[in-house]
Amino acid sequence: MSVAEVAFAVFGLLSAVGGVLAVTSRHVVHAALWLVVSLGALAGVYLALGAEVVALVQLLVYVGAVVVLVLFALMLTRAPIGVRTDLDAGPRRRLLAAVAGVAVALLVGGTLTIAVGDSGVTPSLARGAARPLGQAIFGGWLLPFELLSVLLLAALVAALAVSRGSDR
Amino acid sequence: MIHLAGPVVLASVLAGAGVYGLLARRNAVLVLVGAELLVAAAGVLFVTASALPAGGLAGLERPGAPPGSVPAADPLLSGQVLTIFAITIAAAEIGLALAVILLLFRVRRTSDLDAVRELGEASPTYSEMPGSAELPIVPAGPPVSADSAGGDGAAGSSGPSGPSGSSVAAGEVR
Repeated sequence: MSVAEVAFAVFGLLSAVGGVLAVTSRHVVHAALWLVVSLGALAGVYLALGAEVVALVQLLVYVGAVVVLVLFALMLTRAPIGVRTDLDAGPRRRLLAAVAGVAVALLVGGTLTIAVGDSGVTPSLARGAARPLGQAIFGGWLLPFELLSVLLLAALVAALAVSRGSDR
Repeated sequence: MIHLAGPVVLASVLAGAGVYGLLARRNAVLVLVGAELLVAAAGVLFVTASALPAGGLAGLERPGAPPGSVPAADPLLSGQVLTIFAITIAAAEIGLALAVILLLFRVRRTSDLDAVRELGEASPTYSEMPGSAELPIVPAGPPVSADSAGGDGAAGSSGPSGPSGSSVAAGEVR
């Protein structure tokens, strides 16, 4: 096994375990911190798959910004500290949700395993470096990129408008 | 060579966990955690697809296929660029969603989604909450009737309510 395979296995296992614990933990803050583990390990998965810049963006945006936003929201909504039983729905709805989750996992995993499961890819770190990615974004993807900045501006203005209210 | 079963299984586990989190959680912020996991599952598949040769699945290295002409790589790097786009869209989405959750907490004193079953003024049991004079989303409508002042049981029973608590939290949020 090569280094990339070992790294992918370790980070992928960590990410999957962190994701499952993030949705099942009964501590509110622990759930947010397991999300950090899952998304941070996902950056390692991206690096093992040869996407260096995407891994850095994942670390910056998700672990740096989104999880901090989530933690701030938990603080501002006075999330309880300690084990809580009222974070999840009742056992019947939890069972239905688990059935739906397992069904989605089996559907996605089964279909894709049938399609591509017997093959492999050879990721190359040179393709995911900053130069080819920048040339791709500011070349063929320029218009979607600019549209995305308009989307971010719209989200910023909308978040301000929602949180400030209309009478001030 | 990384076997493609690994990324596929990882993406399916993340997607399943995300769907479970979306459906089973009651806290609004924790529902968003499930949505983030779904976006992460899509990102794994995007990045995996970017490692494919330019022909996509048709150009894969099958074990039985003769090793020969390796097709040229996709110059647009679609998978990685789209992953960055998805991360950006998810960041915009979670910023807006957290603003809505904070507004919900300011108005209803709870972030429990099971306690929020009303659809505003359209609901027959709708009642303006205490301290509604400073609520931005409620327009100046007819005054609260006496029978609806008690509100519905679900919204009233969760969390401490009252004018003093709402003014403290409103000052905290701003």
